[in-house]
Amino acid sequence: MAFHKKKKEKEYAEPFNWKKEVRHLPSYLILLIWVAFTVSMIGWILAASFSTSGSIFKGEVFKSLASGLSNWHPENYVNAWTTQNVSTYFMNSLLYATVSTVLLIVVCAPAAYVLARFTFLGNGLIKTGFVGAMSLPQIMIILPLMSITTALHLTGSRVLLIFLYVAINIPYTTTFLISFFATLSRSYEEAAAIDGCSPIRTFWKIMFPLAQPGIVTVSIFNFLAVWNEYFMSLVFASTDSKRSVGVGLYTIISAMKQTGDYGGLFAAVMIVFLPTFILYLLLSEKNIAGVTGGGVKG
Amino acid sequence: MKKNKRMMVIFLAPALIIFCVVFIYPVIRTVLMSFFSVNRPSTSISEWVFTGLGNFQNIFTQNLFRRSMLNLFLIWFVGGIATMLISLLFAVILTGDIRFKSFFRAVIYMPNVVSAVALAAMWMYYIFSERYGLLHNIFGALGLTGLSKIKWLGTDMKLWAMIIAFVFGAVGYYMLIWISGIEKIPKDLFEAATIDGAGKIKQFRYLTMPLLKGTLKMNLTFWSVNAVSFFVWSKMFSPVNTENSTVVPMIYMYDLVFGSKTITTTDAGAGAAIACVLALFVLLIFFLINRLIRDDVDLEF
Amino acid sequence: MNMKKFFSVALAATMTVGMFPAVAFAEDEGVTITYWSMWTEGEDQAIAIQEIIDDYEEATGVTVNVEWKGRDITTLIAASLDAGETIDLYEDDFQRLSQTFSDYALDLTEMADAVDYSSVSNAALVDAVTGWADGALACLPYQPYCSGIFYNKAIFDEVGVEEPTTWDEFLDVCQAIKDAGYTPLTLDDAYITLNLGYHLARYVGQDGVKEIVNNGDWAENEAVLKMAEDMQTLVDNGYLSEYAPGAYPEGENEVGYGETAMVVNASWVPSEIQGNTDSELEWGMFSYPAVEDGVDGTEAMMVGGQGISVSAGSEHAQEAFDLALAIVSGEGDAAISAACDTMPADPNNEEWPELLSNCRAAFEAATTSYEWACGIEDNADMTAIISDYGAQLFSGSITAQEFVDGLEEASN
Repeated sequence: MAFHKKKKEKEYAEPFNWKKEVRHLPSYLILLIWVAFTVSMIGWILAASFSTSGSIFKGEVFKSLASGLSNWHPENYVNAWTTQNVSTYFMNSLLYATVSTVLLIVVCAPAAYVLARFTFLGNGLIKTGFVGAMSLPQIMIILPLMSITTALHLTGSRVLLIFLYVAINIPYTTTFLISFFATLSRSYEEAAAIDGCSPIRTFWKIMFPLAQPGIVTVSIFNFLAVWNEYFMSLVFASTDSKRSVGVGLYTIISAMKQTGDYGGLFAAVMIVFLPTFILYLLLSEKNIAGVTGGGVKG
Repeated sequence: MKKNKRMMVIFLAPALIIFCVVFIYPVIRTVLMSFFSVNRPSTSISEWVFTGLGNFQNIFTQNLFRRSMLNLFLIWFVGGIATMLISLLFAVILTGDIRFKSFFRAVIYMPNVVSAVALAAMWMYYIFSERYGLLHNIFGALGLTGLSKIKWLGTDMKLWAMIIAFVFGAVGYYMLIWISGIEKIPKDLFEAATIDGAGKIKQFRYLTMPLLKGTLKMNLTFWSVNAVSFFVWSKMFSPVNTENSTVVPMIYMYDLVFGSKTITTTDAGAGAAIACVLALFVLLIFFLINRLIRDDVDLEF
Repeated sequence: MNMKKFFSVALAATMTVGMFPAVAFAEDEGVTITYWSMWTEGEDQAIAIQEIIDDYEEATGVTVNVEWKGRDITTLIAASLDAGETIDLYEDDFQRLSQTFSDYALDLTEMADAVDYSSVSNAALVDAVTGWADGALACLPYQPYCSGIFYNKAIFDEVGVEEPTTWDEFLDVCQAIKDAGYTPLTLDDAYITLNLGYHLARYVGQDGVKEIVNNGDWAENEAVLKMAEDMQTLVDNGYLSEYAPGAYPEGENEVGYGETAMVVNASWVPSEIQGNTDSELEWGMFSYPAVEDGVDGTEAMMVGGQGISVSAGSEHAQEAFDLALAIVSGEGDAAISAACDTMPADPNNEEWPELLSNCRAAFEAATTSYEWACGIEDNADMTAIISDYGAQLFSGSITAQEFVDGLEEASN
């Protein structure tokens, strides 16, 4: 029996069918209302990043921008960018986030597969252990680790930070992927076994691609989490050359907050938000594009 | 199916080993610390004084802690229902026949990507402001003066204002998880159901929901974990002092372990006890979820 | 795509990066001291301190390794010192350094005496430090703040009132301001306890306040009721803003908008309000007024500040102390004060920032110092409850008696 991934069918633009669209009107309405709010809120943040604290507190952000170009303050962005070594932070964060995300899939997907589909002694215990570890406040995990790494003079190392990013996210990623591997039909593995495929190859060639929606989604989440992460980066790698966006951003924000420069604060937030959002769009393209429907015709 | 022990070990080992290396010591240390009187998290073990359940008894007599647990419960329960329902609704709509799916998904997820600090500031200064906020203006324009005068950030409403703000930002995240769960379901099932004459709602009830059980369990678990680690929003809505209206266990724990403006003694033992209480809460939910929602593991289709 | 290949490349990349040896900043000549600062890069204080550091390095040849940890230094400092991190100087709120972290600090009394530190420091703050730290000089305080009632001078001048010294005079001032069409007083939810604490401390002194909150004497001590009734007078007479208590910082911003005349707060507030409202006011400050038959009067003022400590295990304590001294006194102190619109710590620095110049008289007339909120936050378990009841009192939804009863019940 030959396997083949269901090829993504080229979507052709369906002619605009009014009757069909109207059925969806309530859905569009709900979506549009929510979207309108969201756009208004993010729009406000964007507008606030060009204005001053005065307009922000007086609720005149849109008004002041609309009333004249002199009320626009793009220097907020210049300040935010030059106060810190923002480009270094971006490079660091890109490194940390990319490597961590990839390693997390390599380490957690196989583990999730085994935990999801095989029963053995300790399976439930491990799953529970992961959930328990996730629910302990992170500070209680970080501080003892910090004591150890400081005593061993390991702080300030990129490798250490990446290792910790991976380790900290193992419970979450594994738990996430377990539910995706759990509901896959056994007939895949049986068919593969009949075909003489080794269990390890079966996993990588067949089961892994089938869980793709979950894998891509969790990778997006992991990437963004590490990208924005603040506290661990502050503790383990806060010297300027190794600093990440999370620490850099938080530094700017708290400096701006202390000096009362809310316009600058929002500018800094936008500087970090835009690449993050663009990254999300790039990563999610893969998700929406590469969904498989199923591999076995019943 | 034959178990291949070798494969299982190879697959499981890296994750488990790294997990144990990094988590075992801190977790055990925290759990132990909760039974001792300890000054700081970094205090050496030789200086710990055994107090048994003293820390636990102590925190439950504190008004502030009890209030923080109440707030947490409200966030978890009310916020949870709202978030789960709204995110599921969006997920179902955005895996159907709608156009512009990627656009809607991206916009709904967008708040989750913006720093919580900026979002909280936006909610406080743009929407909830008593004099200049959006709600004040909208209600005023509609002539609903009673509603326009609501002190959203006053002691009565602050918790709910915070929950609304939090839910709005969280919906996108859980929606994406629901979507990836729904997209796992083979399309031909839906086609078959439509051919058999089942309408959208019937399809959702008898086809989608049962197959989403695993995703539901996962979402509830993650929601519980996120609820107990609620921290930044509280700090933003109450930046100067810890307030009854926004206090959550994590905030109280930080105050205990590191001191606050007027608490000059630190009590890491009590802090560890709070950490354990939170972890137990999540584990209890996890246990109940797994009992009440039975996964259909081996679906043949 | 061959995913396995991609993963191995990623792994290899990680290893390569990690192989760059951790750079050891060991100087083979000269001394290096490490300074963990509570400020973040970009803050005015950080910029000013960096200049002081640069001058110090040039003058002494000592290399200073400064880490701008931000406010989270509070969560990190103890664990880092316990783990053996090399830190010579660290900073935080001066009370925290003298009480919570005092066991990590070197007693600086000897080094301070050697340079006649008492002539360049604020006596009230230093006394507070040694008082908390059982006689040891646990830190060098700097960037002090004072507190009282800050007001918009323009409104006072227009209405023609003088700074009040007693509560009755204060009420008269309020009435005059109200008649002129302005709001007399405003309040933020974050500072409810400050208002209540100050007023109560006027009746019974700071120790009295601490006794009340710790023993739950809300109903037993009649000063509480008197304090609550005084607050209620403000509400009933319309002297308090209709939005009180406002969501911080909306309350204090009212002063910046020129709507309200006064706010009870500390000396960071003029600069804060200016920043929030793009306003330029001339500011005045008077000490919180005295009450009838009260224990304390206007000579008691809540003050506080930041501090710098030298760690007990420091190997270069003298060099560290010298740098700290350069920051907290003399030219360094003057520079910080000017850059941040805060009070100078060194009494020899005559120049106060223009924003605060009118606060000086009241500050220098103060002889007794209060802690934050004058002791009313001494019972950690009651603070939030006091604030809640205070909020209701100030918004007019409960009476003074209900305030007292509510607190009495809550404390049992």
